[in-house]
Amino acid sequence: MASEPVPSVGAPGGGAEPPATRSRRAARRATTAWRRFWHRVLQRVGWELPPLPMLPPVVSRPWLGRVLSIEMEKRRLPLSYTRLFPFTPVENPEELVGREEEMDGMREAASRWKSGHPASVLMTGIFGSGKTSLYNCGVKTFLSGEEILRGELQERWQQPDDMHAFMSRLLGLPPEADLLAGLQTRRRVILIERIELGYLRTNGGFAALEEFLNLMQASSRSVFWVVTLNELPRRLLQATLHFARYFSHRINAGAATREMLRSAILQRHQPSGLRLVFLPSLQRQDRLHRMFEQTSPEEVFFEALHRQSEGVFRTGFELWLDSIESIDGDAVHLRLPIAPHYRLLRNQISIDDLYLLKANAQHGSLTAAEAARILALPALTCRRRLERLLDLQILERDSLEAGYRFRAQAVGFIRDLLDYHNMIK
Amino acid sequence: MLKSLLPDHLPSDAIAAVRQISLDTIVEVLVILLIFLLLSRGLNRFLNALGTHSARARALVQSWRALLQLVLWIFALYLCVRILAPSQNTVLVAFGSAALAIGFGTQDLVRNWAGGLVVLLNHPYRIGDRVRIGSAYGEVIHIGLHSTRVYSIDGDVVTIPNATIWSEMIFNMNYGAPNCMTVTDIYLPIDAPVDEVMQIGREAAATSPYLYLPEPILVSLHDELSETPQMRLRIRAFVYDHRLEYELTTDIACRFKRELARRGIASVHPEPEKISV
Repeated sequence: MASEPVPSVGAPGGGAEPPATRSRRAARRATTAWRRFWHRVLQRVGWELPPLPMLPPVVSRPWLGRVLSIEMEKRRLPLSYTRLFPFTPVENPEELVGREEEMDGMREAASRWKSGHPASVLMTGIFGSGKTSLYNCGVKTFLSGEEILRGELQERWQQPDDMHAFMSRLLGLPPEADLLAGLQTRRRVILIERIELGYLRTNGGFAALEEFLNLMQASSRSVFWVVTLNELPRRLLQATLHFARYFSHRINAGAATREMLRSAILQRHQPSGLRLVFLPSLQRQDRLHRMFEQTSPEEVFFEALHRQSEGVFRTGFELWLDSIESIDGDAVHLRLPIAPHYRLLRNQISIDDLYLLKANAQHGSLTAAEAARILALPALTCRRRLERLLDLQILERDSLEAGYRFRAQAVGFIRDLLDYHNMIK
Repeated sequence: MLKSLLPDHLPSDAIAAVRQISLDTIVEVLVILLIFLLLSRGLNRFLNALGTHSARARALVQSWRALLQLVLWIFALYLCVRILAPSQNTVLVAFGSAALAIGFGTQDLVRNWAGGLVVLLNHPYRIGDRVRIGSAYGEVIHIGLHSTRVYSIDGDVVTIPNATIWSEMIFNMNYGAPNCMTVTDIYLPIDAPVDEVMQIGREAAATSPYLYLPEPILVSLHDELSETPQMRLRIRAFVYDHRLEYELTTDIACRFKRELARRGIASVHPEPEKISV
């Protein structure tokens, strides 16, 4: 029995196409292709104008949340769960994960000071890396029993008088009192936070901070000074004031390892009693990773989390909460943090924005007026640029002063961008 | 008739060569030259018509015109030589003379190629470097076997023959790094307060957004004793991108002068021109 011919696609009635039709169709295709090729040649030599490009119907500006595929404005999670991940520094040394070498450094500095030698500690690290947590745990462990004062700058020191006023309030002295004499009356521990507000990158803008550093150095036998500072401001101060020479110890709260980050997150998650469900990833590289490396979804998840957070605790906690797809019953469902493609966002940031972001990074937080003084631009221009960066979700409002500061999720991206342009090293 | 005009003492090869040239061959050669002349003019007209059609076509035409003309005339020369059909010796003599002339004329070309090889192997500069070669100053954008192209501050593209490296010193400002040192000179009255101006100069550089932080800032003072004695403050600082050299020096100078004005310290004003009567 003869087999029935397979009907060709598109042939009316499903029957075989006659050769004449096929050759006519082929000829039409060849003619079209030739015509297209010939037009391209004419456009290349300039004989014909190229056709107008097809524009997409809608073009919207990207923002950081969209690039990260997360909602950054509100969390839909139950309050009882988000309360397990406060973004406040650790107070209890038992909750501190890792950081053994850093704690050894604190111990050494504290013992030097207790034995009568001058000692002062500079704690550096990027925003959210755990500097204040280190200080809290270090002081509780090695300096319990000492008088502890804690000062946090609330507004910028414009001149040395502002520094005097701040220190007088901190020490409980009258405004005209001799600060050095006041510091040398008895032994105590003083932590100064947000020292980035102690200067402004303008001519004469470092005078107040310089006076503070001289005061600190002169009194470091009676006072155990601890100053916390982000990494980029430290580099600026090192270049302008040779900052490091004022401190006997510098403790770097560097990037946490994957295990440290995982331990810190699971330590906080554990009291919830919920089990973790890691949703399978749709990303090809992660499937391949699992196929060849035989790694579990949990390991893949924490690997991705560590990579994107760059070992910064705060960023890691934020990404953890943002990766929660849902909490239902007795389980927390987590999806893999998607590797962001920053290209679209990068195109939105001009070189002028980078100068503003660099200045912001060097000061921790800036108001529009301060940015205008630093960059020698009109305040309105700076405000417009800051508001635009706010819309892009790269900056957020500073809770303490009327300024703008980096979002935790944007720190790595901006740092990479500044580094790419050789603006920070 | 042509042969009867020949003197008797010419070598036999020359006589044989001239004997080949007849009136027919001369007419043929002239006709060919005339045809090619018309072709050349026709080609020029066609290319001009093409160039008027669009600006983009004009640029294409300009870059190809000389080459097309050269090809046309080489073909014409080839046809003429085929018609004249000189003897092997005549051809060799002609080529020998031509080679001697070409050798003398292209010695600079060979020197440029040698210089290009040295540049490529020795790397006195690389693409992206900021260099000063002779009076040219700018960024190297192309290194070829024959020449190097530098994009100057004023937007000119300067072509420097590679043979220049044998005779000129080459100053490389950054040698592969994106940052480079800049120098800002500011002139002050001879009695300006030195400690204050040194500190202002250092801070003016330190506060500039163009500054490359890891490298140090160097401030120095020099007295210049000319008709009007003055003090020159020299601020050496590194810019993070060598293309922004003048942005940094201008920014430093502006910040310095603003601070001077704020503190009421006078800067140097040029003397009014003296009008000779």
